[in-house]
Amino acid sequence: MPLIEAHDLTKRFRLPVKSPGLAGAVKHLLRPRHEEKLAVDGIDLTIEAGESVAYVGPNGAGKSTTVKMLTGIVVPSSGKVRVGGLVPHKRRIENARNIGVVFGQRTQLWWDLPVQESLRLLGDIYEVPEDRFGRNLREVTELLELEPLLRTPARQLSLGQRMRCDLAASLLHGPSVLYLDEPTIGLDVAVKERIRQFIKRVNAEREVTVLLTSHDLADIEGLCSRLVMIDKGRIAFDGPLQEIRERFGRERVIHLILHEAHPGGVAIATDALRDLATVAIDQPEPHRLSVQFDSAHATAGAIAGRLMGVLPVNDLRLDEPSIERIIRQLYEGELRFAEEGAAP
Amino acid sequence: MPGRLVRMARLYWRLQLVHLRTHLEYEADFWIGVVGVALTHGAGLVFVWTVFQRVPKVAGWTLWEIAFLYALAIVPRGLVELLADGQWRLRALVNRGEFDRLLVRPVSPALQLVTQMSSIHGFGSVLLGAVVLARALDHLDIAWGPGQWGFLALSIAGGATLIASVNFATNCVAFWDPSANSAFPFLVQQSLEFAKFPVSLYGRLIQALLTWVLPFAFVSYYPGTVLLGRPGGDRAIGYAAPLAGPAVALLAGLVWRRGLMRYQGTGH
Amino acid sequence: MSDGALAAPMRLRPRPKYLALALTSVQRAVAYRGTTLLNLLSSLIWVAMLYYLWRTVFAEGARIEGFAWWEMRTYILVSYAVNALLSFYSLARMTNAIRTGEVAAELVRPVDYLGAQLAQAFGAAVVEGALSSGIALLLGVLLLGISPPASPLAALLFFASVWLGFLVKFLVGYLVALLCFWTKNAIGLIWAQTALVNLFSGALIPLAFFPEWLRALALATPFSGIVYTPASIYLGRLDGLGALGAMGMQVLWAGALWLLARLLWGPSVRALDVQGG
Ligand SMILES: Nc1ncnc2c1ncn2[C@@H]1O[C@H](COP(=O)(O)OP(=O)(O)O)[C@@H](O)[C@H]1O
Ligand SMILES: [Mg+2]
Repeated sequence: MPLIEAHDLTKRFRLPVKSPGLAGAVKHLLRPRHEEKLAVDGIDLTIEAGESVAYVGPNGAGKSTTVKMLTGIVVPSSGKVRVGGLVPHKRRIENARNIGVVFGQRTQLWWDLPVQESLRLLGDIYEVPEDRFGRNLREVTELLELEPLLRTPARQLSLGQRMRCDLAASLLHGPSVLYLDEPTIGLDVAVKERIRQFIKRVNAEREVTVLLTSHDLADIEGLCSRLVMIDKGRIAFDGPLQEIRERFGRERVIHLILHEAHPGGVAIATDALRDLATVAIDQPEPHRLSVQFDSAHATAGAIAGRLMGVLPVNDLRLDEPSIERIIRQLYEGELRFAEEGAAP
Repeated sequence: MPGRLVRMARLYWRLQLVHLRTHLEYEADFWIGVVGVALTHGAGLVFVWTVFQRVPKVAGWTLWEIAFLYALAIVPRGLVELLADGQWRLRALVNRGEFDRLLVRPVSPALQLVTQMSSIHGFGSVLLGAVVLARALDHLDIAWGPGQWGFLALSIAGGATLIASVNFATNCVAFWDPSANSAFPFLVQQSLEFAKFPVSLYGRLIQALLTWVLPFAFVSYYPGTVLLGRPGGDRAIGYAAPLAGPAVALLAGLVWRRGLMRYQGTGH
Repeated sequence: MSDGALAAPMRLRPRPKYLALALTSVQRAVAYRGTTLLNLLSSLIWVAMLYYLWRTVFAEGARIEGFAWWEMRTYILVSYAVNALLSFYSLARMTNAIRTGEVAAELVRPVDYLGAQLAQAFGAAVVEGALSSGIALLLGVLLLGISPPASPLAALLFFASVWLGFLVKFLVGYLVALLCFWTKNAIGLIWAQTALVNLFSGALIPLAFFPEWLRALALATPFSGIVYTPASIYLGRLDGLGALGAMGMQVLWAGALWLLARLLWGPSVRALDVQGG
């Protein structure tokens, strides 16, 4: 039996419509008006124990709302949901014993307590036996290098430090599922990488099922094997991460800024890159040039190297496809790369 | 079932310990809070005392009888402030979506909410109330035995339950209107002041309100008339007064449940 | 500013800064009228309690210290309206600024801190005063029965005395707020202060009703100027030289407290430095 099962899961938020001011408040009291906001629109999702799933979508797509329904925080408007055989919002407390949750924007820790105290308190709340608590604490402390932070109150931690402590807090009771809602939001690259490594290990070694949300595809690089993409409350893609990467993720654009205006740039570049599989070359302004290419057939290095030989390049930037762009392409059924990739 | 209760009690203690430690850490603040609230209730007592310098009885009540009721009103209130004041944080938690945190833990969210805060000034109310109660018993010539002690303890426990439950229920307004300001629960809490004097002094409307709508008369007046052996006040109601607390707690529980189902979190 | 062309779209001159502060505070009180009103309503609870209690007392003994029941009713409502100026919340706002370190932002502005606080308290008090007088008047006329000021002159002196009382109350609050540079438990301090003010200002009970020694004590504090003096003038129990004398005391107290506030400012700010904001 799958660990997480959702069928036709839907959440509509009811928002009061209020006119401003005192008169508006009174009017609302007498005749309340509401408007509905469809946050999650009939999703189907099945996750097996031990999987590691990335749940990706633009801001406002419905990721957090899905996580809140899976964790029992909000009650679904309709549809079915089961986690480990339990309906989370009906059997919230039992469900809570088996899960760990990290919300990127807020902390589990007690604001004024030293981290160590918060962790101990959580140990009591989750009823973790002394010996297991000690073992778990030692393990996460070592892996996340928390030792120097343990005696600091949460309010004095930096965002990255706090996130590491929150991760530790979510694992102390040995949950079988770990929900991570935008855990890397606002963190710098080095911390992101460290956290990714940690999550990967937890999934691989402790066999904890991981569901991680993000609004940035680059964020989950090498972390999850399965990708679920959500947009406007609906699932737009569900499959191996590899597939998305191959279908859409190979497109790259190099932007070059030239030392001086160079009107014939496109012709020169086309000539220099003739034998490389570039898709389009564009010169939006006289001193700017952009080259779109397929990363399976050419490397940014090769292209930049050649162009620097023939054009006065000052600066360059490499763009990967944004999630919005991939979703647009999914809808439009743009399978150009996939087809081209299949042809020899 | 008993195992669960023991566990809840242990957790309650653990969670409150956090606050206790903070209270003791800031010693000056502790005393300022205690003295501040003692002065607040003390001012009312000085007022009562002054009135009785002028007249021997007010509607048949003597100074120490009124002082007794006054103490009966502030002791349970102090206990609630000290032991279960977290309800007041509900609006802020819901407003910022931080209530999520309580919902993903394997412990009753009500227990977690109640332990979100403890106000040390409650200690001042309890202390002042206890002293006044003892002095009143000294001055009053009433039959007092183990039965009375028992009933007094039940009344105080019932009163505290009642006050905490009313606060709890009114603060649940956050589930229906997360943007609501503090007006409603605060105003309800303030009407507990009425319980400092015999409700029989007030007009009929206020009496009815304090009995049937905001039943604060059950905190001091009804059990007080029984303990003081005063005529008037309905005897049956008086003896049953300690039960009002659990009854209101049940109602508050219903409100809480309905509120929980409505919780929407905040979007982000 | 003779260059009309340049100044045309702008205000010719900025508003006087303290006036601007007071106006902002009026705006805030209006914007948060829910809280303002709540505060006034919750003190009405005590008005109701006092009303019923005194009604019972006066039904038995006809007069106390020369007060008849109609005078007592009027006293309750007038003292409610007067004491509503500078409510718990306005006081809390002052102390909160210090507690949260917001004060640091205020300290870097080119205004005198005491003056700025006074301007803001005044702005809030205008709104509170208007609302509380409205409520008192409504209750007085419709339900409880209130009598008008003893004479036109009494009305005039009453008005002046109310604002002198406000000044005293503000300064007491300000001094307490300064204490918050040292302690974190501001709410306890405000309670203590509110309790003392309620008791010794005459807000709970006319000071005349106190036993001799307690009355002497109350009259020796600045608090009696906050409610008792204006309320007595309103009722005509203080008139002529008596009224002027009492108002003189208000002025003296205001001056003394102002001086104290100035003296304590230096050490207080230094305490802020020690805490590191
Ligand atoms: N408590 C709420 N009340 C009203 N609308 C909400 C609430 N929570 C989320 N929403 C709305 O539902 C949609 C999905 O939100 P969310 O699940 O938080 O998106 P994501 O996490 O993917 O960024 C958004 O449009 C958001 O504004
Ligand atoms: Mg989100």
